[in-house]
Amino acid sequence: MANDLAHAPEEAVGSGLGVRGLLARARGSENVVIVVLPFFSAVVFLAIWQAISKSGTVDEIILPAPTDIVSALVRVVQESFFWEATWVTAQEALVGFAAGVLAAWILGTLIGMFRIFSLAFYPLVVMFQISPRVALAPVFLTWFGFGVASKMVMAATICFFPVLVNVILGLEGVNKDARSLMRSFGASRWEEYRKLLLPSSLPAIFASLKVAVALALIGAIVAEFVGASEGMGVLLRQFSFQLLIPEFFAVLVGLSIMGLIFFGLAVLLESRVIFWRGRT
Amino acid sequence: MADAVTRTPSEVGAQRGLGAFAAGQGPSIVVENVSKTYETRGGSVEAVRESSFDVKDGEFVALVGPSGCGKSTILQICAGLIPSDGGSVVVGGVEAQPGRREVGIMFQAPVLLPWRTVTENVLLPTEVFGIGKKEALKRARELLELVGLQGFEDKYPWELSGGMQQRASLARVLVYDPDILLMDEPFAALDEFTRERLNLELARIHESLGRTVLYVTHNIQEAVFLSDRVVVMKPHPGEVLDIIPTGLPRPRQFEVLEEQRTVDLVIKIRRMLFADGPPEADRE
Repeated sequence: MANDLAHAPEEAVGSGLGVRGLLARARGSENVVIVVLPFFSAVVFLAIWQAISKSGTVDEIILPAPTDIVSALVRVVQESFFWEATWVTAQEALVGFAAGVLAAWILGTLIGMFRIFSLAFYPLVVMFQISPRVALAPVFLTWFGFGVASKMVMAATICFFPVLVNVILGLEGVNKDARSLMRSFGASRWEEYRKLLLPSSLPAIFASLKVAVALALIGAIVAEFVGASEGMGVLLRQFSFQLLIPEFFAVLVGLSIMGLIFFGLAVLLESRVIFWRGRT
Repeated sequence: MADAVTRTPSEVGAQRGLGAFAAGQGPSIVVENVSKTYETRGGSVEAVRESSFDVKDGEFVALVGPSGCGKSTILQICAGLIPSDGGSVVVGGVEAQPGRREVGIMFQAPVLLPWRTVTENVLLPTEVFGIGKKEALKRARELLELVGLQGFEDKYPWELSGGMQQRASLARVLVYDPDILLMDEPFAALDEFTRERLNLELARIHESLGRTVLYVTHNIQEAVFLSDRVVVMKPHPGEVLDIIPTGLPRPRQFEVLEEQRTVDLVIKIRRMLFADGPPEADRE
């Protein structure tokens, strides 16, 4: 492994120290394999990419080298416009996520608990889900304007259905004997919900939250593409029009990192709230 | 073998000093001509047909039979969880219904809530019934000691074995002091050794607390060991074949399982159930 690092000096500097450091720390333990292997494949992938870009086989405008992306990223993060755009997009995604989840949780609980809601609303929701909601972006633009509101609505709309389905499934999947038990104590519907149904359905709900947070980000970006004055989607469009492709990719990297952070937060929250997960 | 004193259920009940149901005063559970038919995709299934039996105050009665004989159905009807299609079921002087503090149910699965500790699980019914927290906690601790779970009060269900979870489930059903216990094959999912040990402990608990118990099982030996009377049921449709008193002495000794009279009882019930040869394959 040390040989490869010696033969690919450029990206080795960036990632090699990390690998060597990890190797040193994890020497002798089996964790070495778990951590080092993906690192290794990432390094190989980047090395191949770098080679292809620099060799001239592919036009650098189409596929910039990883090193160019990294230097573009370094340049871009020093600009305030980048962080302003990041903050705008993050807000749109998070507020949209919160709104979508709240709406899905409330409606899902009503549908799961009361038959009348199930009959009245579920077919409509399914119909709504089947239509391509992303195509609604221009409509939202007209309704909610050019600003952040239309992006938040888009984000909320996209993450609504997965959460709704999981809320309903979570309620349906509650242990039947446990429900009989609560009934035998004469628990009211509200008590049954609070003490049994809600905690029981949390694993399913959190599973959908992890997906929803990524979808909300996508919704925000798509809405920005359609029409916006600020945000990372706007940056992407601007860089793309100006053929500043390394900068374009740099913003993409930034977006991916943001998505990862959101996902990581969701996972962390899940492990705190559902402490009994996977332990039965 | 030690000189075992034979006590009648009334004497056990009298010792407990029952409130509304003074010892020997009328049966606790009366099942009269009960029927239940289920509608399934393949047509209607007569789960129970015109079955009758009673459980006297403080008595331990077992419902035994192969699957499909309707024993669980009858128990659920007694618990008020499902309605019967005919006949009447009177539990503790009142028609069967859910949410009664006098009645407690125990299922085959422990059904402990994984987000609650053992103690919190045992306290669950007291929260719903509105029993004072301090009193309930004291009672929970006593019961956990009674079922042999002292030291595990703050553990979570996944940290307990199946047998221990069922003990916790037993403590939970006893915490609000119901007069009548309905148990649906509570030890069926456990290995034989754990089951026999828990049977012995259940017999002890019954003898010291004197509750009325209706116990469903498919295990003939277990039914004979635990109960004062055995209601034998046959399937398709579910019907009562016979009601047999066991007449075994209390307190129950473990060795009674090896005695001839016990073995004869088991054979007698077996012959009743397998009168038409070996059991049929499950058609459900």
